[in-house]
Parts: sequence; structure tokens; C-alpha cells
Amino acid sequence: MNERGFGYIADMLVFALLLSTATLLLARVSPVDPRADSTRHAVIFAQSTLLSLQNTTADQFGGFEYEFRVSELGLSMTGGSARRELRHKTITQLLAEDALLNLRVEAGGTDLTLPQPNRDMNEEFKGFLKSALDRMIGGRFGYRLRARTEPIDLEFVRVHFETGIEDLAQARTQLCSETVMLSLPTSQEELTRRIEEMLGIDLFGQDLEVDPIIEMTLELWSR
Amino acid sequence: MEFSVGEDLFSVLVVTGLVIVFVAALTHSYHVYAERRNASEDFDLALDIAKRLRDQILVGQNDQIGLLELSHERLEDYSRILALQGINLRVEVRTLEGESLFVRGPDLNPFEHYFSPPVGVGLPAAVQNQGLAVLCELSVQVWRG
Repeated sequence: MNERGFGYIADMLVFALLLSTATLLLARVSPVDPRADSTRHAVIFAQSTLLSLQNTTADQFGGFEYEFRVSELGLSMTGGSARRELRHKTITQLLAEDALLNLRVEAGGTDLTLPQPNRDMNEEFKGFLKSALDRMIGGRFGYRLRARTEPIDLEFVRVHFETGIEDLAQARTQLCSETVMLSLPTSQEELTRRIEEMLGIDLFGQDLEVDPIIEMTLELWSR
Repeated sequence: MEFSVGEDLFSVLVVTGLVIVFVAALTHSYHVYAERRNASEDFDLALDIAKRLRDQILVGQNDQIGLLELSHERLEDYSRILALQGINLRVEVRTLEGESLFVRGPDLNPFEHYFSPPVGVGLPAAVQNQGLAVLCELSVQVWRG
């Protein structure tokens, strides 16, 4: 091969090197950020899930019922009439009712044991809500759902409600967190009266800010 | 210009071959790049459409967001607007048990859309059906044509 032949090959090899670089750059540079797409999908999915929880009755998930503990009130009942059956209520209505009936009272960071005839509702509702969310989210995302009321701080105790369920198995990063505010099925006066009954004290004259609202937050995580 | 057969011709064949291979690789890379970009844009579009269906097009008569009322007429009007922009839409509502409650749009043949496959989004949705709010999956598929 003469000198000119080597020249051609050298030129073309340089040309090929430039093309390879361009090809590699194109292959590596992604035109989209996959995380942005996932985040947007997660936000819309979480909003839809929260809306569905507000509109779907417990009936859709086989119904919800629990045993009302009459004995906690020092009463006795014959037969099985203490079972409450709530299949007609929406899931968020059940959550609000759970919050109202199972307010926690804390003193010095410790839960006080007060008569709670609806205690079973709290435990059973957690399981019910988990199975409902498992079906709605269907393994697409990891999730954490939290519901809480604004704590009411009195001089010696703190009254609040907080519950949460999650399935973060194989979850990697948090994609979004969406919150809705729900009204408790009670007025401010009724809620104050209920706290007075629970604690056996008179709150008249105390500057008490009681907000009958529950905050529900759903986080979705990538898998 | 003179060619000496067996030397210069060989080098010309080699470099021509190299050029063809690398141009093909460059074209392929660009094709992959453009496909990814289009898929992302179509996914964004499918999300927008699903959100609009949930919040505006299929919202019930009492304007309760999140409770869908299935209406062929409203969906038909919306599909016509999208079709003017070259966007095709298929909407399906299925119960969580997999029963189809509502379908609008052509059946999708995977081979027909081999080069521009449809992009789909599925969202949970409560749907008004025979006086009950039934939990379903709203499935939206979008493709350009």
C-alpha cells in the first residue's frame, strides 16, 4: 500500500472516531429525566387515590365492622348486638370517625389509659385500610399513609389522634407527598365537650383552639 | 488521479465500509434518542389527559371531583378535539376484579402500532354506576397518528 492509501485510512479513522464520539454522546445523553416523569405520575396517582378514598364506600372492600366494647363502660349486653356494621360509610368517613372515637390523651409523653369502647375500631380499621390501599396501589409504588389531628395542648395533657400504615418494602426514594384536610363529623363545641368528658374537667375559660379537622397525607415511593 | 488495483481500491473499500457502519450507528442512536423523547412527551400527554378526564370531562353532575360519571357523548367531544391535533385516545374503565364497565376508542393491535406504540396511564377512580360509587381503574391510552 502506498503513502496515499495510508493517508486515506488515517483520515477515515479520524472521521470514524468523531462519529463514534457523537454516537456515544447521543446514546448517553437522555432527552428526558425519568425521575421527573415518575414524580409527575406519582403525584397524579396519589391525588386519585385520595379522591377515591373519599368517594368509595367500605362495601367495595367487603365491608367494615367491629365489636363495640360495652364492658369498657361498665355495662353488660346479652347477644351479639354490640357489633357495629359500617359498610355504607366511605373510607374517609370511617377514618374521621375513628379519629373522633379514639382520641389519645398523653401526659408527659405517656398514653393515659381511658375507657375506649371503640378501641377495636382503630386496630381493625388499620388492617382494612391497608388491604384497600394494597388493592388500589397494586404494587406500583411503595406507600405511607398518615392521618393526624392538630394536637390540643392543655396545661398537663395533650389530646390528639394519629394513625399510619405503610408498605415500604423495596421502596427506594420518596416521589411525592399529597395531603387532604377532612372535617371531623362534629362541631368545635361538641369536640370540646367530648374532651371535657374524657378528661373529667371543665375547660370553660381556657383559651382553647380546637380544630375539628383531620389531615391525611399519602406518600408514594418508587420501587 | 490513479488507482492501483489491490491497494488503493482496498483502502477505499475499507473506509467506505467504516463510514457506512458509523453512519448507521449514528442514525440508530438518533432514532433511539428521538424515540425516548417522544415516549416521554406522550406519557406526559397521557397523564394530562387522564387528569383532565378525572377533573373536568367525566366529573359528575354535582361537580364532585373524584366521582366519575361515564358519558360517551362528553368523551366523544373531547376525543374529537384531540383528533384535530393528531392525538388518538382510548379510554377504558375496569373494576378491580377486571370487569370492563366502559370502553371508548378502537381496539389496539400491537403490530399496527409497532413504530409509534401507544402510551398508557392507569389511575384509581370511583365511578358512579347504578347509583353506587364503584372503585375502578381508569385506563387511558394515547398515540399519535
